Amino acid sequence: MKVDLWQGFKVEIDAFSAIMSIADDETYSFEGNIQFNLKEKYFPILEIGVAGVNKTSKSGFDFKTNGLFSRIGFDYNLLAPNEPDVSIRKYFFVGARYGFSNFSYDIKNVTITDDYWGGSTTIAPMTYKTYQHWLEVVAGIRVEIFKNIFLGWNVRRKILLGKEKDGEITPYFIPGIGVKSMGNWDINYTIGYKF
Amino acid sequence: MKKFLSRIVPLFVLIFFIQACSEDEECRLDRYVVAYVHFYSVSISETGELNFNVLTTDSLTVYGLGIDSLLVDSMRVSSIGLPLNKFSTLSEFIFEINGVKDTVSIPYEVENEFLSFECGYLTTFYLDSLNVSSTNNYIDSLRVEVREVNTENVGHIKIYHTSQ
Repeated sequence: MKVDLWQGFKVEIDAFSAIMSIADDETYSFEGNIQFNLKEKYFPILEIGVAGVNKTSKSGFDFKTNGLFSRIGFDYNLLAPNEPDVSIRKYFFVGARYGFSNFSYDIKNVTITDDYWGGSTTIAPMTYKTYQHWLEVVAGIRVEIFKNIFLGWNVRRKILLGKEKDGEITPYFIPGIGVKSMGNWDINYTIGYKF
Repeated sequence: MKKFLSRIVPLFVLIFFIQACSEDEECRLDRYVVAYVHFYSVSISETGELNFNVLTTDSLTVYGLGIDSLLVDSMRVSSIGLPLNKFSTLSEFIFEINGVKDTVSIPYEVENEFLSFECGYLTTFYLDSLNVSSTNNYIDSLRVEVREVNTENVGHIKIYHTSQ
């Protein structure tokens, strides 16, 4: 079967991160993407989102960050190209992303105590700027449920790039990755429309 | 719609599972910062050479000047870790070594560095090497070997006692 190069483009939003944001009153993340369908095989993709956290630590200080993030990459469809007149189009894909975020975070109400000599003091609020980037490996499915409307699942493994500089520690929260201690797996549940 | 529900229910189960895991907020870094003091005895051999040996005290009691709480009480040790005062640039300790009292004065600079959300701040001390001093009842002399006092367990200060 001969498939033309241009097969249209699709816009998706991620319902999973949106639902997570409602369920969690400390962190939020919203993202969407635009992807281009080339030959029903190759899907260059651009993902854009905004994420943040506003949290008080167990030791009582406030941590706040908000930032934009982007990921560029592609998906590769492992299934045979869908016939032009098929009613339910299906894709099973693997892909890769390069993600990055330039953001700052604020720290307030940090108290230092001295257990032996006694005394405590609160440090002046601080703002730290940082740039973080990472790679992702993605696998998932997309299925057309109504004409031009798609639902999809994907799982992704995220690998943070770049060594920590001297005296600089990976931030607690990175837009596009989330809370560091939650591990480097993520899930998307996407709702999309094909143009 | 049924099909849609069967897809959305596992999603919520997953959300609550991930929520349950996200409470992990533990500092995994070592934040124990003390200045380590090691004891040495100095003896002069018949040929006139100086010999340095690790000195184990018969009884060592140490406390901060003006503080009731003892850091060690009548211990047999050859080294001790001293917590420096984070809100001062001088910490003084009373050393009672084998029944003889000395005062050790340690001046330094303090630096607080933000580590992470989980760990908060870490205090690092920079010893004022030339001005670390003591009275000379049991202690003959002391010397700063490592200036920077952080989480590393290294011998920062050597205390010498001349044995007969």
